[in-house]
Amino acid sequence: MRHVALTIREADLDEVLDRLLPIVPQGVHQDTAADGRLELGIYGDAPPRADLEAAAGGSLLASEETEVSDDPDERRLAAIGRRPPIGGRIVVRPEGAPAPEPGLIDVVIGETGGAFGAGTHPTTALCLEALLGLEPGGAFADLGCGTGVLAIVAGKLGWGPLIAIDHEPAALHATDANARRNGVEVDALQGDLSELPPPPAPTLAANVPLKVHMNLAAKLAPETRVVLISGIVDDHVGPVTKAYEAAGLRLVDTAVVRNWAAALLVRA
Amino acid sequence: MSPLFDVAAANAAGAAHGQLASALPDGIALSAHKLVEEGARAQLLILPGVVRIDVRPLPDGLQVVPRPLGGTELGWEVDQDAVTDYGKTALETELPAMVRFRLAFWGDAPLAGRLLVGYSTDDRHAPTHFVGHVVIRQVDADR
Repeated sequence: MRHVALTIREADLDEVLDRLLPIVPQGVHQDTAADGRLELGIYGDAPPRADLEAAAGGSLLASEETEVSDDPDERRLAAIGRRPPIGGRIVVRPEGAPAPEPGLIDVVIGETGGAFGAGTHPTTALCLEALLGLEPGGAFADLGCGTGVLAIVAGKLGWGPLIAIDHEPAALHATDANARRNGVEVDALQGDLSELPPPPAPTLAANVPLKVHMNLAAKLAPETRVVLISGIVDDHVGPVTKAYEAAGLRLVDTAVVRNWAAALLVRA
Repeated sequence: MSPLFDVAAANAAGAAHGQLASALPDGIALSAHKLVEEGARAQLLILPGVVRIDVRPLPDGLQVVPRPLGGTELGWEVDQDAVTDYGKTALETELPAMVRFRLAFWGDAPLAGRLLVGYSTDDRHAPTHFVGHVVIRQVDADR
């Protein structure tokens, strides 16, 4: 199967898609992004490469045509292998995707069973990037753990013991399996975090919806010194931050990708 | 009737995408269906000069992107009650998975829309089968 990769300026994405999507019914893959450049991948024999390049217009920086596998699963894994590491250091990949170069933190997430945290969502990436900026040490709780990816990376960075909590049984099974696969010991517990208090760990990561944050903030233990929050859209950063500030924390940093937000708060 | 409710233009713009447009007394109805590979962003519905609705199935969530066209100012919100079972395969859920949105278009002639996107997949990471339906109507600005 033909694969055409168009490298464009990321800032022009919407305008390029306005011209590209109408002529590409099968859709466009946004494969990699770095330094303001974005690679758009088009699989299939139509439309002609010249039409694709014309649609990219003045934003086109490079264009390449290659033959790739007809198997969508093989193509998916190859595309994952081309993703830049999160924060320049962390690679989250499914089994079968190419292993990263030595020196990077390699996290293999097996079948998720529908649990959240395959590493592609902005909230996951924002949390992982934020972890890289913290001083590891002491107990770490991954609240709304999904696949357990945040706890696993925390363990690889040096936090411990590790606790992971989710209300979905599928998430607990996935966390258990993924922790074993990555050689990290995680205590996965079932609990409804919209009602329960968070565990009294010094560091919490909560990639959860708005109403869960409101409960966690109201019941935060005094032992908790650092809280990394995500799972919310940028409009909700204000009210969520306010709730944690009422519990004695102060906002240190926020980051937003595609309207999804993460924020770091520390005890004042 | 707004000149934007042009059935022929909508049918032409969506012809390669399985779209069917039909006129309503005060608006237009569009529907379409297509298979989309995981990670690909694809046009599902289009009303030229007003909006294009894109879908992008990802391992960690479904992106539905209403893209305003022709300078239209667009507001939209998810109908939370209708968000069901994204990420589950047909074996794991008996319900047709779907999400609903409310759309509002501001301008000289305000428009309002209701969008329904249904989707299912037979296996994780397999292409997702999408069905989209949107009804866009004129709004009586005096009401």
